[in-house]
Amino acid sequence: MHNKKEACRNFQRGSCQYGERCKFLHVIQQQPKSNAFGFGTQAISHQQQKPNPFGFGVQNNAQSKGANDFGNKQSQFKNTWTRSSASSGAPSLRQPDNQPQATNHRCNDPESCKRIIAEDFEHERPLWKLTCYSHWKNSPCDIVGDVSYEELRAAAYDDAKRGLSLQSIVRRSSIPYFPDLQLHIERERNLLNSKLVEFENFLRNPYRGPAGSAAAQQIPFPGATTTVLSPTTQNTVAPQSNVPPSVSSFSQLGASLNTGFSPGPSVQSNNASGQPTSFSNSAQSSNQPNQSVAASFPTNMANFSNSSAINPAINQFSAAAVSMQNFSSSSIQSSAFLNVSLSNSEVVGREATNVQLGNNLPTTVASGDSNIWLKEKWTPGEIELELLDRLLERKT
Amino acid sequence: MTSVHPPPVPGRELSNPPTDGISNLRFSNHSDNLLVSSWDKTVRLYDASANVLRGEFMHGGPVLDCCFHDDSSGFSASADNKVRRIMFSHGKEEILGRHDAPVRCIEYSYAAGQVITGSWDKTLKCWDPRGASGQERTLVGTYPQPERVYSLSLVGNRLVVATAGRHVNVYDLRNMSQPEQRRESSLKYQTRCVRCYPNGTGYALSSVEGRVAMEFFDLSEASQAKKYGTFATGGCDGFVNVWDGNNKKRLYQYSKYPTSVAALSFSRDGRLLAVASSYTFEEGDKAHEPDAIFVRSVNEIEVKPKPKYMGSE
Repeated sequence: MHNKKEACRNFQRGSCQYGERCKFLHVIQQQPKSNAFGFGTQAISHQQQKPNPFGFGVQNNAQSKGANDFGNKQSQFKNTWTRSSASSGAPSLRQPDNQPQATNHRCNDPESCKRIIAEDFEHERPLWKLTCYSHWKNSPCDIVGDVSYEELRAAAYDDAKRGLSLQSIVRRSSIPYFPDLQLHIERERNLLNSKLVEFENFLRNPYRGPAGSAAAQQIPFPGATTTVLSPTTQNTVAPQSNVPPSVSSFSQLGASLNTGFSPGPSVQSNNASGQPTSFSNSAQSSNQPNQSVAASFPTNMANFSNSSAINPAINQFSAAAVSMQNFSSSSIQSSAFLNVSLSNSEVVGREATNVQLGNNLPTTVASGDSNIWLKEKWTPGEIELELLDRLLERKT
Repeated sequence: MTSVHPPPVPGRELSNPPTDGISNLRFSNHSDNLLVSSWDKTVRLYDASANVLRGEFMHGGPVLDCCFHDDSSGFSASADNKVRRIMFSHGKEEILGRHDAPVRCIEYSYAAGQVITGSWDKTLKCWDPRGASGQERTLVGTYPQPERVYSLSLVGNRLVVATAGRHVNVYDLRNMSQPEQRRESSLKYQTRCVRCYPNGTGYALSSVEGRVAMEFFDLSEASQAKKYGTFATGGCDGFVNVWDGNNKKRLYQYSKYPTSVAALSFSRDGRLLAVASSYTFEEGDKAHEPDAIFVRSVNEIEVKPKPKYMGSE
């Protein structure tokens, strides 16, 4: 349980000479803040055997630089970051640093790729959530649907200019140049949560891509899943790239308006396969407390309704989606994305009817009190804190 | 070894900063003039050494990027979809052309004599500024990109374009019909910024995860001894770090700025570093420190690579 240990100050300053042996915890941000993106800085943490992700591509000259640091651990930045892919026993997959176009990564060792994904999810989630993602460098995106800070800001300014609050944005075509974003904002204010869910589901089932995905075909992945991905708008993928098992929040929105409430920890265990497909299992395998893998992502997203078509457990939360109408709506310009989603009850209600049901998916929430999702009224931030506390196994 | 505790002086703050977020700032190649584009719809021209505002140019929408042509004119990229030329001495601007969506980045290529713009309409456009205004006369070409353009950079005859979805296209300006190279970013998350090395051998790419990747254009060069040089990065944590790319070390960290570092620019001789401390909306809309521009002197010791102590590498 990581909250028993203190954070290592030297590590936070850039290097710790004890490295793996250090008795303090190597995380940069020990306490998640309860602000909107409670995830602190650069998502750099250092588990005992895990690499220290900090910067420069694949490097492994920790040994040669070790002696250097003893004198000035505060001033020397020691780049000991490596990607853990080496541990998979498939060294041929590791491309040398200087090859710009690695031979196309084919996930020949799905276990190691899953490990990479789990580690990335745990250690390296960036502060900015609306990002695409690829588990392998130089490979096409596994998750698409990039939105940059400036695009969001421009959209907000545009609407502010017209005197619109986010509530009204919901129904208006106010961002004509970016139809996907517009679509999303119109139908589903929860950019963040759908992205979060994408990441979660990708983590759980990286290989349930759209039919025709090369990677998916190569790996006959058993596993119950209802990751029904709609590969409709693949326009975000460059034509020359391999078809990745990509998931796009935007395409899913187009395909099916699906909302419900999907908090991070609501883990559906896909039991059919013997793999650690459930969230909690993969969290445990990474040496974290249960559910903590989801800790950072959903802390503020929890109160967003979920639009992802691939999230099977949403049906449980359709009631919650409807109840979100009582959330205080605020424009995108108000406090953080925490309140961005706020819906419009009418829209939410409409969307709740399109909930897709998964097959053999238990609808249990893995831990904690699930009643909060069914409450009629929430105060803003309540879900976030509740979720956060539960995830981190603290008392509220 | 020097201790890295920097003096608490963030540099001299320029007076009359923009009244809203700063999207980019650039030093001129000819002087200490600094061109600053802002979400307050203006482009401002400062004399950074004298701390004087020399000009302010109003646009139809937030200005997302700007660049110099020479000391008498520059160009701007605006969220009102227009590309403008700005004449500093005449105090006016004119429209060079337009995109179908906000223009996100703009560069002027001395090699090609053209203005290059990238936009969220997924195209790159090249403009000849010598022609009369109006899109028909000035537009040289339109080059579709796989995704919305987020950043671009030029060196010599090479152009690197980074788009959403982690795509990177490298063009030879002499033949824009198709990219010279098409790549995916070697980083895992959204590309934030791309900048070419001044020596023309490659580029640095940064992402929202806080990493920088160093890439080479030519593989054969990559296998030679690498000379990345030193470079500075500014992050949403408010810090500016100077890195030694060759040794993969951080050389220096300047004291924390009030808010996110939105843009950085070294002066032509490297004596000055302009830092835009301006919240970049990475946490949505929230209260933030006022937007400010700091200009600091750069000490050689801060940016020069340190000799290696251990012989091995």
